[in-house]
Amino acid sequence: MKFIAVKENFKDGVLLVEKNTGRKTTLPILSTILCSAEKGKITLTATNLETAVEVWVGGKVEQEGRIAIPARVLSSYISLVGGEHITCSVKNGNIELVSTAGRTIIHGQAADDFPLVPQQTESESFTISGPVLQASLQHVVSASSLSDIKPEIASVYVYLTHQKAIFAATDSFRLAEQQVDGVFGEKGWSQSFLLPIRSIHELTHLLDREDGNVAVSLGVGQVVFQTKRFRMVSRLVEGSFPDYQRIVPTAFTTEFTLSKDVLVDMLRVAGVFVGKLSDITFHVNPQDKKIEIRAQNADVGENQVYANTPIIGKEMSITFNYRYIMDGLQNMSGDVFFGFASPEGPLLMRSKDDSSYFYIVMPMKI
Amino acid sequence: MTNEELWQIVLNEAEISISRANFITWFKHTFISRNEQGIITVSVPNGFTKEWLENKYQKLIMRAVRTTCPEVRSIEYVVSKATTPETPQKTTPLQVNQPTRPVEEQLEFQELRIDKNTNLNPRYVFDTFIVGSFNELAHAAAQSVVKNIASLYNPLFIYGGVGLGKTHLLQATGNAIKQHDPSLKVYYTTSERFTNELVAAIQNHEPQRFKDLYRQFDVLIIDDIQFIAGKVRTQEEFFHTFNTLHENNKQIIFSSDRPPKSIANLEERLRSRFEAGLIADISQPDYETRLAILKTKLATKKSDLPKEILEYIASAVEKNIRELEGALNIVNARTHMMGIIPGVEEVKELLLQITSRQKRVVTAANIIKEVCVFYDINEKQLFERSRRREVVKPRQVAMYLLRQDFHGSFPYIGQKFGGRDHTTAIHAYEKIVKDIKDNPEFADEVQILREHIYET
Repeated sequence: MKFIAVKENFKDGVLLVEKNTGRKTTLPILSTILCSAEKGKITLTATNLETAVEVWVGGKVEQEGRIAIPARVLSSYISLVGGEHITCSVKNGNIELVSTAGRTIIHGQAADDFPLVPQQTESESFTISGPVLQASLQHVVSASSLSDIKPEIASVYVYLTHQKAIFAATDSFRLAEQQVDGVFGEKGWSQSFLLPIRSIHELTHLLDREDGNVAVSLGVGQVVFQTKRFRMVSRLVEGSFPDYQRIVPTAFTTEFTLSKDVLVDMLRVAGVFVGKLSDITFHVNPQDKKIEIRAQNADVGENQVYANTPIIGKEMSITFNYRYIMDGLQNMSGDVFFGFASPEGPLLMRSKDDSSYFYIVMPMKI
Repeated sequence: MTNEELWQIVLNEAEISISRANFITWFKHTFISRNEQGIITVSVPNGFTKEWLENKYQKLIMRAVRTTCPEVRSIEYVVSKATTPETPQKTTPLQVNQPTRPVEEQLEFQELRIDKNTNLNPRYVFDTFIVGSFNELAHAAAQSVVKNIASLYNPLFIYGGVGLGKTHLLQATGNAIKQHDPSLKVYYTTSERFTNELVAAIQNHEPQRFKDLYRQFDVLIIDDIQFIAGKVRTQEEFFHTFNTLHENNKQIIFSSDRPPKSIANLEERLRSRFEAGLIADISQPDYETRLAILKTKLATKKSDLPKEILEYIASAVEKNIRELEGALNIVNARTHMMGIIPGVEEVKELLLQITSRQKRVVTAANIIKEVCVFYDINEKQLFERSRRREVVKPRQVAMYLLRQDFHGSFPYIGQKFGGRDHTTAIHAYEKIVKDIKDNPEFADEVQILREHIYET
């Protein structure tokens, strides 16, 4: 194998796939990047047997071939080394990298041992804009469960109809939903799948500098995301996402609208004083048109911050996890609507001018 | 040779031929799912394994298979949902009661635990249902329905006041049936949801789908059936659903806050059908049962309170088990916050918000107004000296309520009703007491009237 590539391109490719390598010590081949030069294309592949990522690097192939290179060594080396172009060739099972700045040999492994990336058969496909996909996933992923005990919620639920895509996630304490308009399929068409949380982190990372469309194809137990730059295969989570529509409150006992910046500032101050449980208490008083956020920490002290705004409904005192509120608020902008369903029921948060996203969170019982 | 034995031979062979890491990685959770006409189908957990076995180990596997089964021509690989044949991964909802957490806790969306197919909440089970004299008939009936589906009491109609455990009993029955025979299609819904789905179905022009949906169940449980009163189209649709299910020997269970005959605006044909099976009531728990309930709740919360406090709560909250639990929570939260267990006096104060609501002030004027509305007569008529039947009965009921709930003296009551003698009031009171005892239908009537008075 022998090819010449622009060093920066090669570096970008390596750094993109490197994250997707496996950390299993039982199968050392998983911690390598497969570098192949075939049919005029240079491809870098990494997999952890849950997801597989292929990135295409522009360059000139002089001789076809493939080799598996330890990912950590390759990525450390390539991000430090200088030079404009880099020439890679295989010599006796090792890879030789030559640039104007020097010459390196890294011990490789046999490419034959590298896992094969599953082919996609019998699939349904649709396209979605890369930045939209990335933003939607990022908006909801913080609400998904980090524990693997219930895999169906350690994932993001994606539901598509011909003109709408819905992304939802919950860890049973809070829930986030993002809706996106677009054209995804024929009229009457609908699809849904559960994408595991690790794949989402991987995918959002890959989409970082992607402004084109992503072609998504859904197969049996797996999904493929493809752009001009990369192809990512991920397994899907089996099981069914909870029927969450019924937990979305529609009527509120108390509600108010306040600018996000004001709220974030208040919460940050209160955040300094949160206790071990990260609990903060909202005291909402319609008579005085006052919102008070209280936090106290047995070791540090306590704090109350106020803001004035019109409040509709009953007086309410309710406690939440500080981080949960912040997670939701981050994805909003402008004026933010807070609706409390009941003293032991969920709080619904949404941007006043944007009905495509909402976030609901359950209170704490103190 | 069974599929398992055959695959075991392959596994044994593979284990010696390839490295341990490879063996574990590629052969974990694989099994033969089918073996027909010389074609073996191997189930694999993911696409990676499929590709690898197909392309790298095909020869090895084929050789191993052929040594024992020479007739095998080809091997196919499919990515399958189940991990292994022995333990088909069933989505067991969290049956185990969650370990009790401290009082400070992050609340969960309870609804997420609801089983999607049955719409049942696994939290409700018979084990946590406390049986006393007030609900033993309903409980026994539900238990026997679990054992004799659609053959003994069909439909089973359970009624009782707010917060007395109707929903718990219904859901527990559903869960028990499902546990007893997982193949049965059990579905729990409320009449409100039934109506909403019907409306949606009509809107989407797919009423047939709605019909088919409800007619496929083996056990249909409908909570708060009284709300279909007055909804003509829902009643009609429900009537047909009911008939289809009943004809096909499917179990139907209802709950309501009143017996069928007291549900106003209910079509006669539905009423008679509701009454065709068994009607069981849940009345109010007696003091001992309330105490027992408190102790059980306390035990599940793993906390403890002195006897006197429990006794006070049991005596103060009479009519509603949900409020009983609420009272307990208030006291518990207080104990936790202050670090000391409050005294009985303090508890009395804490519970004022619950107990005071129960003994809400009822005015004489309010009672009279509601009686008039209920029996649809003019307030003036009530005070007149008329002895027409349609006036006499409401008048007596009003007197009874004034005595019983308002604690007015008999002379006062007599005076109130156009300067009648106090013996008239006594007679009216006693007559109604006797009628309530003798005639359950009339007792319900008075109960409903009372609810009206206390609601406003």
